[in-house]
Amino acid sequence: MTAKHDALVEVVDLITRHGLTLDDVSAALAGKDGYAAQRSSSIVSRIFAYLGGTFVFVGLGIFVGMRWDDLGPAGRVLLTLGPGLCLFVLALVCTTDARVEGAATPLFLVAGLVQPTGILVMLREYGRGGEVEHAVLFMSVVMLVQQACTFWARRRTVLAFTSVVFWSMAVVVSFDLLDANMYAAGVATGVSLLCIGWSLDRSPHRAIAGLVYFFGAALLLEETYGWLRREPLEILFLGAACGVVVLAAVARSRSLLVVGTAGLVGYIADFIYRHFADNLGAPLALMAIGLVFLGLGAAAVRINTQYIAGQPPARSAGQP
Amino acid sequence: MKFVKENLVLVVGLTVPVLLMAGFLAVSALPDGLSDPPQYDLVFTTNDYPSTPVPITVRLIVKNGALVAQYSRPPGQQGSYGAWKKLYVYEASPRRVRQLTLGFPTDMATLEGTREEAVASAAQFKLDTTLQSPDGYELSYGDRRGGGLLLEIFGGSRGYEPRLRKGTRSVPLTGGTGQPSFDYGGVEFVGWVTARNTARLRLAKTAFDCLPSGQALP
Repeated sequence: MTAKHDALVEVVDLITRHGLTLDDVSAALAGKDGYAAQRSSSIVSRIFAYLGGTFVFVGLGIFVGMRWDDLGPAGRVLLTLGPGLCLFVLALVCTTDARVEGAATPLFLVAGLVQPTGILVMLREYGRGGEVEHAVLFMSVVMLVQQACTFWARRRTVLAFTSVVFWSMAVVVSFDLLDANMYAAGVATGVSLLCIGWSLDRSPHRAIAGLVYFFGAALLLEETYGWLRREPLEILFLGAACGVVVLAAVARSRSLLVVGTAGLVGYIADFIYRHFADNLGAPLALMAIGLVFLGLGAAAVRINTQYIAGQPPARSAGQP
Repeated sequence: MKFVKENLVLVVGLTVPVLLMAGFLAVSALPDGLSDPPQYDLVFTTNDYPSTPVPITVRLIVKNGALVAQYSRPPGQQGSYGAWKKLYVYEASPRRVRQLTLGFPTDMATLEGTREEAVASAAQFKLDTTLQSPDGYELSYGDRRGGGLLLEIFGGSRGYEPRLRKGTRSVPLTGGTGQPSFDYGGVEFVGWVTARNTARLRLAKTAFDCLPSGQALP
């Protein structure tokens, strides 16, 4: 499949997912005035929203830091949880008005940072001791419920992102509290993130699918390698890394491809250095196997297009 | 049901960790007899950092199964920090950590050379310094299985806590809420308690009470 075909598949996918019509696409391609103005104003509003959110966050942080020692427990909670909740409500309000909708994303992000801090401060000031992990679990579950419910209602990508973050946090801390085998916990969390990434990839929230895929695959491979390293079943890691590469091809995800390839390259290099440290034949054999794989891949595409899909093979430009 | 059908992959992704958690919860609820917990108490130490300089150093050694404190004054040393020890016993049956007394000798200021003294608070223990306990457990430090990248991203201190390990099974050395935590704390192995000698405890107490303060036991 050529880059042109790839792009075409991507375009069709985007059009279907966002419910666009051919007229919308034609207008945008023709660069009509409305589209150009919308694009320009969107960039400007986004820049101001990012800058504004950053200034508010930094200013609040410095102010709280300067006054922290002079504050009582109630003051500390009010200065952390209070602004967090205000920012969250403000972000919700922004989603209802098209003129300030661009500010909603940074506001949700800042609220997603400030609110957990506020909850942890509240637990520290008014809690009765206990383990830190319990406080983090409570905070992540509260935040997960809030962010997931809001995502359900507003369908904003940023809320999907924060929900995934707090879900992962809650899962990891729960495993930690259960004194679970963290290799198994890591593999389960990795698989969970890959499944969530797959769902995001097939939704309007595709923008964060790559990030979720990346962390899911990295977790899965890192924990699998740690678990099986120097064990008789170590070779299964190769299967996991190949699985990630296959998933990358199916999901058309570059981040999965990067992680899967890095895992494969790392494992093969480690294997060769361990077992064939002074044998020059091993890397040469590996290169030969690689060339055979490349040939097989090209043959598979040709066979598919010629005999299975019933289409002539694509010819490069300039060929008769 | 329609949602599940339409979002099967998402549902699987959310269910996998929950099922695994349920599995770990079920395993942790098994009776202790099935899970082969540690049977022997462990005596261990950590470094102590007294606020005032200590002119002598202490080493805890096991002689004929008894715990002995070896005090010495390094030549030319006026005082040092971090030279003392905190003494603990991990009690396997209630799975808790208890601190034992290890005070300064009363003749600390005048002590010269090296002097040995039985540790009264551990006099009841017969200790075995074999690294592996008779039931196969070993003290391991900072090697909780897995969680490397996981704990790097989301935090968690339990990856660095000392544990008693036997094959794939391991037990944290902390006793839970309200018990001391030894993360990053430099736990040092002293010995496994293979027997408790109550007669020895009585003898040590009597000897300790009768001796003038600071004098060494014979």
